[in-house]
Amino acid sequence: MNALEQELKQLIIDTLDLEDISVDDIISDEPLFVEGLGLDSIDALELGLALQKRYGIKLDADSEETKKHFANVMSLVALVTEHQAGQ
Amino acid sequence: MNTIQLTINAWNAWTPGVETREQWDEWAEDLRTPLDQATAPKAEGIPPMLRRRLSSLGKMALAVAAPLARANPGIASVFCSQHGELERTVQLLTEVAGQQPLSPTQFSLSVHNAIGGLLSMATKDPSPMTALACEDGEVSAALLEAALIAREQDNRQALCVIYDEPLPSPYPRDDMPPARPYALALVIYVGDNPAPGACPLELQVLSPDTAQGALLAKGGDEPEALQLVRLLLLQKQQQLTLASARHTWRWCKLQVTEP
Repeated sequence: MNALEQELKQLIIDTLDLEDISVDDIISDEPLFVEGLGLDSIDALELGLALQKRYGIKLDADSEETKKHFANVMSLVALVTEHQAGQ
Repeated sequence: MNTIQLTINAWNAWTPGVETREQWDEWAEDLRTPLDQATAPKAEGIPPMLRRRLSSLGKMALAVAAPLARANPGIASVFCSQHGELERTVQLLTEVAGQQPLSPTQFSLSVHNAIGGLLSMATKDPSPMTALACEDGEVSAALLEAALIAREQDNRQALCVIYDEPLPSPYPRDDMPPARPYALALVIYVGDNPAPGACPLELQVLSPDTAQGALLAKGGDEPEALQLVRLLLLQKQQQLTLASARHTWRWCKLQVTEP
């Protein structure tokens, strides 16, 4: 697990109050929403806000593109990496 | 005199240091004093992914309410709290003042019926639910509401949940009750066939003169909900007068006539 992967998992846990879940419990290529981790639509909004606060990434809540970014931890890693490269 | 009758079929209560029925019995006999504060109960009956959304207020409300809701599927409910999720509102207002973006989670959970909503999601029970905010006189207002709702139900029952915690900073805690957190859940029944051993009560609305006297005589800072628990537990106590600025209500135990 690379540092950004670990960082994003910790961000998910802290932001969404996942009290009983540790970094190791989140599988990087498993779905975050509905299946897999079982997050819901409020979590998606909260996570979007956290990405904005931490990395300055602004996402459109309704776009298909955003849904792809939120698929799993690996897609979030790709999003943050791409954003940081573009700065 | 206007009266209404209802029966308390079951109840659960929580305040710091007083949780089990044995502890409540000791408390009613003045053998146990609540702690000033304690970690909120875990709300075991709520799945972890919903439980993470509960504040300390929500945890204690659902710790007492969830077992009764699960034991009575399809029960209508009344959730009553003076301050509600004020701590979340304070956080949101702080973010507004600092021109920070608002947390969607805090926003969605700050509304007064959010705790009841989380219970209905946990139990997958879409029964009707009412959220009340009362400045004072909360026990009588909540039970009256619950009694009227119960009368409309096929099973003549309603779940009544009353809960509050001290004001969050920056509000001055001493200005307004309660001094410590508490939660009470009651299954009430309005009809001719109460459960065996259940406590039938009659609510009386007192005249303004009597009310004035009761208001003057009002002592201590014990939440009304806990005064009601004491009435239910102490056999020797036959009535409870609850005075507030606008109304005075009296709860009287009715004699159970054996068949």
